[in-house]
Order: sequence, then C-alpha cells, then structure tokens
Amino acid sequence: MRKKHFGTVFVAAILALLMVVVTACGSGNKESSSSPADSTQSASPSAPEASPSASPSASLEKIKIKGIGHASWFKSGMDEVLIAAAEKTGIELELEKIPEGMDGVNLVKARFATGDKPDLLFYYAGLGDQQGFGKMSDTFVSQEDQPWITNFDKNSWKGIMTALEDGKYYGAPYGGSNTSVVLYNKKVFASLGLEVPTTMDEFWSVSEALKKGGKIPVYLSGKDAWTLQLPVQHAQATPSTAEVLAKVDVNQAKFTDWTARKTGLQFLKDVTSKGLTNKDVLSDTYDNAQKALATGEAGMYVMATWVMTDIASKFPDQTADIGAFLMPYQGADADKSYIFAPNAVFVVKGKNEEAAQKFVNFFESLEAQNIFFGKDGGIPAIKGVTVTSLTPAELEAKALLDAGKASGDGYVMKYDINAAFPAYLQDIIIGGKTPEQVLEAQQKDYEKAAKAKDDPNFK
Amino acid sequence: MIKKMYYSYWLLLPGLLIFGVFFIYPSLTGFHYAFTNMNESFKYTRFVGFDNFKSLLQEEDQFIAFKNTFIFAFITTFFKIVLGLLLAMLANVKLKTTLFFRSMLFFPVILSTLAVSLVFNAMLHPSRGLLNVFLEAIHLDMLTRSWLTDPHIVIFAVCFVEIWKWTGLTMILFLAALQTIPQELKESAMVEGVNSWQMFRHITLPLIMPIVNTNVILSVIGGLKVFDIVYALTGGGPGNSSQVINTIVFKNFAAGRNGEATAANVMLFLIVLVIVLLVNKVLNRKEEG
Repeated sequence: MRKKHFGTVFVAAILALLMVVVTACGSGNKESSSSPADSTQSASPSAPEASPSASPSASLEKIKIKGIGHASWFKSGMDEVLIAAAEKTGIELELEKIPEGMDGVNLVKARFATGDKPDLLFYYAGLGDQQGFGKMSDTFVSQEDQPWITNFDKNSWKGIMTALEDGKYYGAPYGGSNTSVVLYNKKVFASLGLEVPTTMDEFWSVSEALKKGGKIPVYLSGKDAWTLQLPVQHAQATPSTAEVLAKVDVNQAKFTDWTARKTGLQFLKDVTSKGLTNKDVLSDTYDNAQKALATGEAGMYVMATWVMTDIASKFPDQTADIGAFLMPYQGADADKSYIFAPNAVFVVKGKNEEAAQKFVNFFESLEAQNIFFGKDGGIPAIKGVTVTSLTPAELEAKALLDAGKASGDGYVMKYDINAAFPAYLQDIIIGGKTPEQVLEAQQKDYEKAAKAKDDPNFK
Repeated sequence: MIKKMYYSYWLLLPGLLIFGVFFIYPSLTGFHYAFTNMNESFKYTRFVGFDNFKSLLQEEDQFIAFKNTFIFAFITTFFKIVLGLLLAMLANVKLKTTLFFRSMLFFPVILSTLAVSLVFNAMLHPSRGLLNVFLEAIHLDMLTRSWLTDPHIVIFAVCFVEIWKWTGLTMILFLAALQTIPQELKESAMVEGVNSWQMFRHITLPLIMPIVNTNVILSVIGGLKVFDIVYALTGGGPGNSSQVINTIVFKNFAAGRNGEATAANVMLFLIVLVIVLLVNKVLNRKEEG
C-alpha cells in the first residue's frame, strides 16, 4: 500500500518536473521569438531614429553593466536613454536605485568601502580623494581624454565638478544644473493679494498673511531630512562661503565663523518657532511637499529647481501656477541663488570599465542628451542640446542665473562631513540643538575627519 | 572484545579551516582595527591607542546611542518575556480557535522588518496615522503623540514595534515548554488543592525555567544588537534621538571612520558578552535553585 502510494507521488513529481522544464523551454522560445519584434519596435516613431551607420541591435554584442544612484535621479528621460543605449550600443545598464539623501550616501559609501562596487556611480560632482571613495585616480576612470568632453565647457565647471586634488574631471555631467529658490504658488499669492518679498521683514509678513489665509506658509519636508539642507544652502550662496571654507580646510577658521550657514540654520529655527510651517514637519515628505505646493495647500517651499520635474509629471495642470524667487536673506537685491552643478556619472575602474565608458560616451552624445532633456528638467551642461522641457518656475530661476544672481558650490570641502548634517537640521527643528551648537558639532566632525587622515594642520 | 574506532583528527581540518578564515581571523583583526586609524579603503592603518573608544564615549550623540541601546534591550526583553509567557499560557488552553490564535500571534514574526516598519510609519503618523486618528475618534485626544518624531518618546515607540513583532517567537518557545509539563503532575497538584498562582509559581515556572533562560538571553542579545527596526523606522532620528550602537557603527563606516566604527563594534561585542554572561549566571542559579 505504502509502495503504491510512493509510486503515485513519484510519478506526480516527475510530471510536475517535466511541466516546469517544458514551461521554461516555452518561455525561452517566447523570448527568442520576441527579439525580432523588439528590433522592429526600434523603428517605431517614438524611438530615436537610428543613424545609417548604426549597426542593427541584433549584431551588437550585448553587455550588461550595473549602475547605482539615488532613486529620484532616474526618471522618464533616463528610461528612454537606457532603451536607446541598449539598441545603439548593446549595453544594458541595470540601475540600482538607492534611497535619497544621506541614507543613500551612507549605503553607497559602505558599498565602496567593502569593495562591492558598481560599474557606474551616479553621484554628486566634484568628489575628492578624502570623500569616502578612495583616491580618485585609483577608483575612477579620468574623463579628460574622452570624446564627449570636447562638447563641454570645462572652464565653467572647473573647481566645482573637478577633483580637488588633481583638478581633473572624473565625473561626466548627469542631468542638468539646478538652482535653489523659493518656489511659490502664484495663485495662492494672487488670491491673498501678496507680492514676492524682497526683504526678510516682508518675507515674515507674507508668511503671516498666508497663515491667516488658512495656508501653510513655508512647507518643510523634514521626514526626508536632506530637503532641510536647501534653505541653508540657499543662505550660503555668498562669496564669503568660499573664503571661510578655504580657511576651515587649513584650520585657520572654524565652522562657527561661517556666518552664511548660520543665517540658514537660524532661518530653520525661526520659521519653526514662529509656527509658520506645516504641523508635522518631521513626518512630512518630499512627495507631500510637492502635492501641498501644487494644490495650493502651501504657499512656499524652499527647494531646488529639480523638484519641478516631479511636479510637472504628477501635477501637469498646476505646474504653471508655480513660480520662483530668491530668498531675501540679505535683501537690497544682494541675494543670490545657490547653483548646483549637474550631478555626475563616474566610470568605476574594473572589469567592465570599457563598456561603462562606452555607455557614458553615448549618454553625453547630443542624441542621448536631447532624449534625456526632452523629458527631464534641468539646464544642460553639454553644448548644443536643442530639446529641453523647462517649466515656468525653472525659466524664472534660469533668468536669475542669466542675470548673474547665482553662486556655485565654488569650493568643495576637503573632508566630507555632510552625512551627519541633515540629522543636525532635524535637531534644530526639534529644539535639540541651537544653530551655534550645530556649527560646533560640525567643527568637531571636521577635526575628527582631518585627524583621521593625519592632516598636518589638525595635529 | 570490541575495539573502539575513532575518526582521524584530520577530518576536523576542513571545518576548522572555514571557521578560522570566516570567524576567528575577522574577529581578531576586528579587535586590531579598533585601535587603528583605518581609512575607507581599509588599506592604511596607524595605531591610535584608545582614541577611537574615547571619541565614542565623549560625544553626546554617540552617548545617546549607548543609552538608547540599553533602554531598548531592557524594555523589549521585559515585555517580550512577560507578554510571551502570558500569550503562551492562553495559547495552551484547548479551544476551537487555539490553532488560529497561535498562528495569528506568530504571524508578525514572519513578516519582513522593512514591511512592518513601513506600515508602522504610516500608522504612527501624527495627524494621518491610524493610531492618533483612532484616539481622536474615541475622544482621547490627550493621548495622541508624535510617536516617531518626538525625541522624548521615539525610542519607546520603536520598542513597541519590536515587541509587537517578536513576542510571537518567545510565545512559541514558551508554548513548546508548557506542553512538556506532564499532565499527571498538574492533576496531582490539583488534587493536593493548589491554586492557580501556586501551580504557576511552584510547578510551571520551575519546569519552563530553561526556556525562560533561553528567551531572556536571545532577547537581550537581539535588543543590544538591534539595527534593522531602528534604521527602517526612524533612521536614528529625529536628529540623533533614536540612535543605537549599531546605527552609530553604520554611520561611522559611511563617514569613512572605519577605526571608530570597528571600535563601536568591539564595544558592543564586549557589552553583549558581559551582560549575557551575567544574565546567564543569574538565571542558571535560579534554574538550579
């Protein structure tokens, strides 16, 4: 009886196994039969037209490479570039999307520290040897001799996108440049008869009026702590920033001397203590902020122009309602916006570096750049891009840049201590630290980082 | 006469080799690196004495992490044991719904920590979260709190989620122990006229003491080594108010301060070792007594 039962189970198991094998073969056939269909799709009107010299995708050797970067950096523009790259170069880039802000930064640095490196790193431009990725020339492929760089204004971005130590470009621009602004809902302002403020007194009056009008005056998305940096970075857009940081690097000045940063920190403290923010600052996210601003629940949001790509895709009908102005920290027409260099894509040295470089060269071509900027916002750094999709708020911000009202990063700190910064900003919101205490804590972090590298200035 | 045949000692070699390479060697080098100034590429080291340890103990933010770790380990261990035992005794009662009841209580254990954290993040939102909305609906507004963003209570909120998730495991272990108690023993005690408390105090508890010991040890170790639930729920925030030792380790590695991160790990290892040895000694004495 038991034998008979065993026999039945055995036969059933064999049959099940056969079914799995047959199904697997079947799906394999489907895949191979779909390949020609895919290549016909590449000739569809929506896909970029292949140049006559481009070889058909079937004859290209397919190479898979891996890239890593913040999730919000990969939008529809990049999706389309990935398809085009696979068709034209045979390179299939698999993107690992990591969390925003310091969570993602910590993750990617921990990966590099343990040798678990991707082929392409999508990261902030202007990395240096002391910022957690090892010596630049040991870790990344220099872009100085790559073909794309001839179509890029090297002088404009020198010191911002180059490595601090040898002045070389290791990162190729990814996305466009952006700038910090106060994004505001024009309809809300108009309905309450408010004008764009030009001094801090006016700013606080406008905020009070918005509050009286039942709106959230200034939205802070503190759950995504990285967003709290924007009001501070906006305040840092002064020539004094580069001056004081150059001294901090050689231990001739302290973070507490960085008055521009202190202004931004004080703003966070004031706007919170005056009750001019959303109620649940530390529970509200970057997504919540976009919705609040677009729908008119909030009047203002201090952010960089990159948020407009998200708003345009989620709230296309409200995009035109949003405008941009400079935070009047200093007033008297003296304020500038903080310009963010394009992010960068770094080719990591390793077995796939050739393929990764090939992808970067394709990405920086005019063909790919036009695809990218046709979908995503930002001001292109590659020359000759003809297709862009800037929203009204971005155009207003661009007008500020064109009028010279912008100040770039200008100076990259020797040691990257920013991983702890967003947490300090949350501390200001909850009253755990004063602006002075945050600057003191950052000074300690900096000294610790410098001593760890045996910096002779910090003995 | 039967001759005893022993396996050759050579057979131990593969196992010992793997253990040595993957456990002994990394552990010993970890102790070494804790006293060095190791950079992010793990290539350069310089002996710095106790500097890494001093730095860990002197900074307020890092000190909070140590305090939180102890609070977390103590609270979660206490409630996981007490609630686990209560639930096990309930689940040991034969009812039609017993199996369903046991499955429901064990269910959180099999859920991913990340999923649990996402759900609780939404549930504990100060204005839109289910908990505060419910409290407001039943006119208990005074009990509503910013559960995950108030620095004074955030670590307790994280403890609550940990207890919710893992009490099912302690319950199952207690249940297994309860089911090994001979029925005759209970019956004869009842014949002798003992009440429920006496039954628990003098029969049940002594017989399940080895499992109490195991559960306490596991909970203490788990509590001291906590990382995932804190990182997923609060990221150590707001500010640094819910940092624990392992989030500090992670933060230091990410900042390229590998020596300091390793030192924190070594401290955690020593703390776990000392506390577990002490707890084990106390519990073993009780078990024997």
